[in-house]
Amino acid sequence: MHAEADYSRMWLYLYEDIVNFGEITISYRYPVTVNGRYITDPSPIPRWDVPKLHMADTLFLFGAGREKRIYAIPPHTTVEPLEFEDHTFRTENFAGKKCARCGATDTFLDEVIDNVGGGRSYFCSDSGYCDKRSEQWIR
Amino acid sequence: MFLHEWLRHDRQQGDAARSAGYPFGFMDDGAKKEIRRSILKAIAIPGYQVPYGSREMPIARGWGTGGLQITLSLIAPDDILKVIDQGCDGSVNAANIKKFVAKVAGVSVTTDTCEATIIQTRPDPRSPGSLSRGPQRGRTIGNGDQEDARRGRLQPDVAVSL
Repeated sequence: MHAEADYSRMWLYLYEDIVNFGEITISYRYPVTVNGRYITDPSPIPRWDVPKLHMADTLFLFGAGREKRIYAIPPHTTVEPLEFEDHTFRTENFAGKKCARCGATDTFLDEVIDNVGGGRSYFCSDSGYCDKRSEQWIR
Repeated sequence: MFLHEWLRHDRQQGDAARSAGYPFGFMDDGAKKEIRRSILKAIAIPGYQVPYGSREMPIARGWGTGGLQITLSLIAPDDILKVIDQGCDGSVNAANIKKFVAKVAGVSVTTDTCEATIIQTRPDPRSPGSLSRGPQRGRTIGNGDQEDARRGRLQPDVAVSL
């Protein structure tokens, strides 16, 4: 697959999602092309953050213990998510929603459903960032 | 000697006994050397998957052993470590990895992305993610980490995944 850059299986993976749901629903480990050559699984990194891998300052190292593989996205490297012309890559849309704890509107939000009342609220998924913002807000 | 015995022994004896049976950072030097060489090759060929000999770790495969081996082979005593599991600093998996590395390498830990020099992130191994995860199962490296990055406040030197 990698040696011949034959990634038809990955394209089919995206296509099946479009057939089933009308859009690409992969929320994390969204396949990306690194440096125009290898398709890479940014395993735990959510779709929301895939655009931030592109030309990032950080060195990203991936270690798959079970699969016994190490791979990397070096700093300042092009990272392009797989997309079709008519189904382009997009991240989750949180327009009009904000974190119920720190009020952030620009973070990835987890939807939490109240067991009793059934109401929906949203919280920052990144606990460290939310804590920091909450502290500033209290001050 | 079991790990918990060694850690207890280590606490009693102080730093002098840190090497009692285990080298700095838990893994032996040969393993660290192999992993570092694999990392160098991986960086030289962006996205290419470099095979390496995955070692037994004191956590189950699929729960962060790959990232743990990278972290342990790279970490230095003056590093500041942050570990998150789906964005959360406090989940069991993240907290245990953090505690483990802090003990075997003697590094300090943080929840602040801007402070950290190494961030290890963890996926959710159980199911494809959905938007309605509980609050304790947040995100991975993204959000705040990269949120901070976007504002130009970061950067961790290294982010380790899986």
